[in-house]
Amino acid sequence: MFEVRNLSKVYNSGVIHKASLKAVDDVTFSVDRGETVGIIGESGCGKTSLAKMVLKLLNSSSGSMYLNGEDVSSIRGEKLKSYRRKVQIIFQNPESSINPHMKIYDCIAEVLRINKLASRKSEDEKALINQLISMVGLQQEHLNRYSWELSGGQIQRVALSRVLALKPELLVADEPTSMLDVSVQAQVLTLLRSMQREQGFAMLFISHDLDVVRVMCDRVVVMFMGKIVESGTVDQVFSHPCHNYTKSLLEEYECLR
Amino acid sequence: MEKLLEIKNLCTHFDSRNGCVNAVCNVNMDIHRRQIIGLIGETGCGKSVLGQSVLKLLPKNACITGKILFEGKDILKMSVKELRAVRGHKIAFICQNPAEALNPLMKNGTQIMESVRINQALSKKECRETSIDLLNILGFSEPKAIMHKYPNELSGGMKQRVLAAMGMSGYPSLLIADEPTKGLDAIKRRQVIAMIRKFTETTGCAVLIITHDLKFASAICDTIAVMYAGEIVETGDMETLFNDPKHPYLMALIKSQPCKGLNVLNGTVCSLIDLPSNCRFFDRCSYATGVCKDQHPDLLTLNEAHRVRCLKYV
Repeated sequence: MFEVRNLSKVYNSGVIHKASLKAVDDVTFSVDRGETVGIIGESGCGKTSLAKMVLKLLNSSSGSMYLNGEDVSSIRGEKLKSYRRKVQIIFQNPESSINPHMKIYDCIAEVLRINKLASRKSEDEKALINQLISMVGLQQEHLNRYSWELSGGQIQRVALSRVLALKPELLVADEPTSMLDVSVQAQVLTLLRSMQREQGFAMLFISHDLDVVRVMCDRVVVMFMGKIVESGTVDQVFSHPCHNYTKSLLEEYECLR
Repeated sequence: MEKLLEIKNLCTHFDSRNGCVNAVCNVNMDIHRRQIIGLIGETGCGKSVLGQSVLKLLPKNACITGKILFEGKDILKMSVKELRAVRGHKIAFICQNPAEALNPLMKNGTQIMESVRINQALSKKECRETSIDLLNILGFSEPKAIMHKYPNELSGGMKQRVLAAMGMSGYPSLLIADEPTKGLDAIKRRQVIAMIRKFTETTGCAVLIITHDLKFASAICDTIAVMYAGEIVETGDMETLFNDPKHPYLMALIKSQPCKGLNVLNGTVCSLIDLPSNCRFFDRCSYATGVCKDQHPDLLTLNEAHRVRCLKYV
């Protein structure tokens, strides 16, 4: 359904002493409907740059992306708008992804208004929001609060409800639980899984927590220094790693048990 | 072993518009030299506040009562001047959010060298060498290049390690690390563990690690204290606590790890503003009985090292 071919990103810096950094280097992978693909790799290996390119928050230096067979690497205007509706992201840091000046109700309503799913202050809007928050397991009372009055897990739920409102085809989860603690992490992960089963969206799950990836994903892609060094199903990669980096990653991970 | 830090009946509360927030209630804790002690618990249970109370790093509306004896002296009664001699030199703090803790307008090298220079009387050249050594210990492959970069050019894990270098620059006798592995992958986490171990062995420094990463805590700590809603609910050495947890909260926490089956612990922590007079874990506890509804449990000593706050074992 979603495909990335030979995608690269080069960051240039400096005026006199020019330097360039290849953050993502010739990456190719695909995601199917209802499938979860995990991307693992050390910090700074280009996972987040890749996610931003998938969402077109960053322009790629070269390569192409396809959604449902259509080339989306150089779309603009209306087309980009509708692409962004289909491809959504949950960020790593829930606190900074939601406007602290807005009540939770307005945070969710904003998404509906921008995408013209309901008109401002209408009954439709209220009903839709109520439905959304009950889906992610929040109560009515939370709607009148501000983001700083909620816990990390609750904010992540709000972020998820904003995403689900648009019924995305692809959800990019950029370390959605790295800032949450174990018990809340379990809550958010099971919620993500059940929502995926319900709506059938594809998921690109970026994480460095191998435990989480093992539980959540069908297939795994291992990144190292901007390149994909290994990919395969979870069982394949975890039981028979081929690349040296994956091997050492798994060794360290077994040590920590 | 010699006691380095002694926390006695520490209470920290904040005056807020909605009422008094009791972030830390009656905490007793001893930290010995060379000990690595872990503080685990849910977000908002007062872990970080406890860590910050030790150095009086809290905002003005915080009220700290009790005693914090560091090498026999009460930190809470120290003057600003005395405190300044302790902060960084004797007790160092590595704070949680690497993105906010570094100055975005200064190069990493300048920031590390600044803290080296404050803590040790060295020339600029020596400072630079010490900083590079520190970065080397912390597992950077090209420390010189890192020194010339700005924080925004580094990833989250790298910033975390730059902060760690700054914390270690004074060779403190107690290091408080607030979530040192947040955002690090398995290999880097292993390096952090090795680095902290090496650091305690070479300098004899004690470490208080505040974390919610159970795996990390089990790999590095000798002693663990579990906090829930401002109280310590269970303490003991690492082995007993993880193999034979007694408090229902710790049991549920261990079970909710992805590798242990991802069993969800429902509900949220009770509000710290109006604390219940009964057991604080009552609403979420699967072992709760009638007694738990009326009584607030005290910390019970099961054996010398293992203590638990639950009415089940009375």
